Amino acid sequence: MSGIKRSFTLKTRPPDTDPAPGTAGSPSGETLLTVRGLTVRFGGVTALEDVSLQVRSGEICALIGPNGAGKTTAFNSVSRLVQPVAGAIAFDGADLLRARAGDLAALGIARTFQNLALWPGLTVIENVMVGAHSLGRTGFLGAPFGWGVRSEHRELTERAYAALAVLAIQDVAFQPCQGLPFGTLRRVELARALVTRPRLLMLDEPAAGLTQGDVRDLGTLLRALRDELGLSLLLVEHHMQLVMDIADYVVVLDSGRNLLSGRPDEIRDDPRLVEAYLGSPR
Amino acid sequence: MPLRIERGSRRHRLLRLALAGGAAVLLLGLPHLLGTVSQVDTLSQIAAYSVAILGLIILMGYCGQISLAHSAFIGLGGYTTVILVADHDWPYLATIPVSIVICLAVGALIGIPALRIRGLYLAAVTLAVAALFPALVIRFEELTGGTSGKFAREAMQAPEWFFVNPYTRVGPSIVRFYVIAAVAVLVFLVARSILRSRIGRSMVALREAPLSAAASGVQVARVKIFAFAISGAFGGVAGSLLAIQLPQASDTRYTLDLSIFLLVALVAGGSGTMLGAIPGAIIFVTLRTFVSDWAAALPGFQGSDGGQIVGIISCLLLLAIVFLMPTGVAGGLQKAGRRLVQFTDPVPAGWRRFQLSASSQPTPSADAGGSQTASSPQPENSGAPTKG
Ligand SMILES: Nc1ncnc2c1ncn2[C@@H]1O[C@H](COP(=O)(O)OP(=O)(O)OP(=O)(O)O)[C@@H](O)[C@H]1O
Ligand SMILES: [Mg+2]
Repeated sequence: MSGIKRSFTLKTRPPDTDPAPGTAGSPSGETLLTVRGLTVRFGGVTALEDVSLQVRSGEICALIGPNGAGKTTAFNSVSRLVQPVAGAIAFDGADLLRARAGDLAALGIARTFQNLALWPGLTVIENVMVGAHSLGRTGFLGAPFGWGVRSEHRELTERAYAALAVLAIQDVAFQPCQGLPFGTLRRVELARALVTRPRLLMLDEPAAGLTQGDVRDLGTLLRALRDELGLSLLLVEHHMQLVMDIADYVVVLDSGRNLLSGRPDEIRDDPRLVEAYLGSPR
Repeated sequence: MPLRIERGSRRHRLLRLALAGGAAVLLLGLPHLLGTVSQVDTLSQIAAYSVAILGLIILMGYCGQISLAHSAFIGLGGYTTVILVADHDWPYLATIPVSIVICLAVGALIGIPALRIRGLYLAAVTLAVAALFPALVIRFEELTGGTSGKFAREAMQAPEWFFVNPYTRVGPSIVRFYVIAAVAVLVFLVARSILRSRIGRSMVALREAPLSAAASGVQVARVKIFAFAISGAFGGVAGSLLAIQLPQASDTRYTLDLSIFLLVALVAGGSGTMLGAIPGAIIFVTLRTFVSDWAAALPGFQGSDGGQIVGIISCLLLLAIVFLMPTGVAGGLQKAGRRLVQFTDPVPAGWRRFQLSASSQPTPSADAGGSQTASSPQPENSGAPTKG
């Protein structure tokens, strides 16, 4: 643990501020991410309508809902890959809607993608090194002349290797991604997100396509990230057992709207949840 | 059983030293082995065009952008050098930085549309630039000499102390070859440095999955513009080098088909690695000079420039390469080389500095001491590791 404290620093970390005003319903813990009144349209399709959610510091918040509910769209809005038409997104007091996608890593937010979005032309460790891009300093002026490229390369390699070690896949570090089993690729993506030591980790269906054993490992890992590294997680997941096992708070979306939210034990047996997933009994 | 060499080890460093030494000996010795001025000039052209193709490798091979505008950059570089030498008495070498600055700026400008458009549309925009360049040359006749072209009276001269005697028959062209090759080597070193930096990796990332690249903190727009600017600058340097080899510029020297032949050379040479620029340039110059001469001498083609034949042969070559050697000559050589020598990567020595502990994950004993080697192609390790 001592090693973590020493190196667990981000290059840019905005000063801690009070949670954004008007974020009611947080029984405990400081609010890290606040999404309020989010509305997203794709042409005529309204993917999200007035969606609100929040992630408290050091907690795992699960975002669930049937296919097409808008979970990924909510992720993409936070990641600044999708521009909402209305709403507010605040991360640790900073207005995320004014940030660009490329700024988020430096702010302390990292994510994975529902459909693996790795770069097959790079080796495993290079994938993770690109994840650590925001920790590097080589600029457009320095790169052609090689200023600092060597030492930066060494440091990013070490950081990436350490992230791979967390996921126990350092054996494949120097292999190309192509040909690796799916479960390993999921871990590579997780390592790529972890390498910047984010404060908020957003995972879009990390258990999809994993074997039962891998899902158990994933649950253990996510808990460890929360409990030992103090990470906050926003988790989109269809694997209900995993969600109920590890989430501190669950937000349910249905057809682009908030359906209900609460602790896992509060919502587990809610008839509205069952109805959303299985359709109305009529 | 291939020989395994660990990167960064003594053997690896010795091997690299030997390769660098061999390349130097080859570059220095080759022109002396050749007998005629035109052969040495061919060598100079190969060196110059390898710089141009290197620019395309960065832009298209690594960053995944399409550009047909490369002929315009070679032309910009060529005219810059010839005009500064002919009209302003600049020394040849001093014109290269000017070409670089001009082509960086124009390259960045051409990169701007690439932020919005891709694929065929981008090809069309850059094609328009290539088509426009000869027209602009004629439009600005006072500067460029228009259709009659522009010439520098004196070719590049070697300084007194230079180690090649310029008063022999091939002397002057050998001097020019050394200068061109030296600049080309510098450009290759620059490219290597770019491609090894985080910017080089982010080029590959944005080519393969731009959204996740952006989510990782890559400033996608800036990297694209940078790739266009650098590629343009390499084109400009190539143009200047070609003007050193033959100090003249004309509108017919920098037309769209130069861009297209360079693309053929790029694919044939291999765009996946920097070194593909060398076989690419050899193929390019061979097609443009030898095959063109041969075609012009064919019965029934006397008097024509052989252009069509070269076009047909290029097409056939392209087809053959795409089917037989999809990664180009360089890719094929690399693959063959891996049968002989495989490079393995050492565990990065100081990784524990950055260790994140999640105690539920047992630290695998495999890397205890950090001396173990994680080797690149090692199928027995590719299974999902099991954890206790
Ligand atoms: N780029 C897009 N263009 C048009 N419509 C889109 C786009 N992205 C998402 N949508 C639509 O928005 C809605 C929400 O999609 P989203 O991907 O966010 O759902 P999801 O909850 O992640 O579903 P899943 O569980 O299947 O991943 C869907 O109706 C989808 O068709
Ligand atoms: Mg989704």
